[in-house]
Amino acid sequence: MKLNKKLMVLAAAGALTAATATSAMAFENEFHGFYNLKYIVSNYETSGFGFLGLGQDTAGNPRGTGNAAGTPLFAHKQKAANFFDQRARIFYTAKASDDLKLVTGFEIDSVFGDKAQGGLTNAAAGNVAFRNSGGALESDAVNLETKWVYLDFKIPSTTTRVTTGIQPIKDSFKGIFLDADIAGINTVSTFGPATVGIGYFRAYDESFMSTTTYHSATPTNTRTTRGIDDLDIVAANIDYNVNKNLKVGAAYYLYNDKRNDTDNALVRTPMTLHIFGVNADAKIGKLGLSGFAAMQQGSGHSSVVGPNGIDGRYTFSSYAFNAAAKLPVGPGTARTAFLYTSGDDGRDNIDTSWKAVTQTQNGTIGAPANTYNESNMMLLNRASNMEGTQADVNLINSINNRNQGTIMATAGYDITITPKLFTNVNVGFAWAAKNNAQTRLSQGNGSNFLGTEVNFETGYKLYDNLTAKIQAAYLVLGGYYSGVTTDAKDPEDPYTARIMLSYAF
Amino acid sequence: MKKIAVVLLAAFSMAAAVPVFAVEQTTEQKDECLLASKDCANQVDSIQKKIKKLNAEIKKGTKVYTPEELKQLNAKLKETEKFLDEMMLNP
Repeated sequence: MKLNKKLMVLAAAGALTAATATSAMAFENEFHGFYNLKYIVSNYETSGFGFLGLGQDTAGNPRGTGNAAGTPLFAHKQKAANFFDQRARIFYTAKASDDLKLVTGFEIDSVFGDKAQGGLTNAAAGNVAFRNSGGALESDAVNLETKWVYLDFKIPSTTTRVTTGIQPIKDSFKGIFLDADIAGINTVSTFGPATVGIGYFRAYDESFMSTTTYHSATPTNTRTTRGIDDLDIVAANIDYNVNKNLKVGAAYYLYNDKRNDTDNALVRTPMTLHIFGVNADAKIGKLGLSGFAAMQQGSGHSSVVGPNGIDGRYTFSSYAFNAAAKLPVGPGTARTAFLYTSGDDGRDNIDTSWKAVTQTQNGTIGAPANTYNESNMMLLNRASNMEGTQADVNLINSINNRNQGTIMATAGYDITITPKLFTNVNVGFAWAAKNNAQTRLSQGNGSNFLGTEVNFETGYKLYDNLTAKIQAAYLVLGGYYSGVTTDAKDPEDPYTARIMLSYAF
Repeated sequence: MKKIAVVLLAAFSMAAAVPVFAVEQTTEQKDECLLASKDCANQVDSIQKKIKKLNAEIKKGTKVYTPEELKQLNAKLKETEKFLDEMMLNP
């Protein structure tokens, strides 16, 4: 009987402990994500990335540098491709409190009918796990990509939030320098109306992972000590809310590529760039205005002798400007935007082209790591808000535009017809800022006009979280592309038509 | 004694059960889950629902929340919208 009483008391104490623990362990497990499916009919788009119409870099076609395999070359008559491209992203956040959480993000990309069960085309020999696979019969592919893994915490008794790990970073210039996932340590602190961000990111540490290809020019220079052949990026920015209608900001980025020489006019390393700029965001009545001005200064060295035949030393000096406006007009909102990034003529060792971050693992140029979403273009430039899957082929795939720079003027109109139905129409014009002797396509006619795009997007919300969309774009190529096909004819104008399902949660 | 212990046990069990049912907020109540990640029970909100709820709570204004708490809710709204943007638009 005595034992029973003791057991009862113990049980009561246990129940109390459990009850207390329940509220103390308010641990939140958050799952979010999205699924996009696009059916695309297009004459130049693929499920890869690249500059539209330039093909892939080969001995006979150096202009396709950096493009994914399968990017079509400009042709007078271009056959339309049709494909299903899907992307799912799953995000899990382990949240101990508002001030401490681990954020993880994963991605699964597939093209219907493309690769399954490992060991098939486009995978390295013997490699049974590779990304973007699993869309072919019987799927069973190991294709999970890790996108983000970072710890997000607030330093106690301060306003400073720290994020450490692989995280998304977008610059203060609307993404035209850097918009990517990158590993590093970032801090954001608020001081009254001011927000200050300081971060360090290591884009590449080639000391350890570099291949013989990368070091082939200087094989004795292969290092195995980490932290020597790096691409480091330092970011510092401040935003200041002058009042509720005006925000001003300033930013500085250091792009410090200490890696060995790469033998390409588009990548010159070692390279040090300092990027300075200011930005502003204002509201005057119903009119929304935003813009920035930025400059790049720096120097670099390449093992390739420069265009003037003297040496491989380079100085960099470039500019970028942007202005955009938004105004409610009639039942919708009208938008317009202008972007200028300077280009280089390719004739001397002073490179005046705006540099935008691009993947350069092992010295090989890959996919771009910059965006310009404000354009709302589908084919003219890389605007990730109009993409959403792997398909990433545009006339200006990276805003550096192969050292030619970019001038772009765009306008659009958004309208919500019913709470469930919306549409937007856009038009855009683009020019190469400079006729570059090394990278231009058009040798004879001298026109820098790249083309005019008209596009529209219409969406219907089937549920709160599920939207069905139709997107279409037609791009009238400008004089820059006159006679650039292999048989010296004018290329067929690019177009795309897409049906899309988008589920976000 | 046995009876007391049983009553105690029952009381604690109820106490533990209470937060599970305390999910719906009335117009005059604070949403502690949104505000401070407390009493979230078994809620699973889509990101759009979370944004909607945050907007609804902010609308309650100073009748329900202190200015400091409203600032906190606004910061959470901004953070959630940023997450949605990064999730969808990150290339």
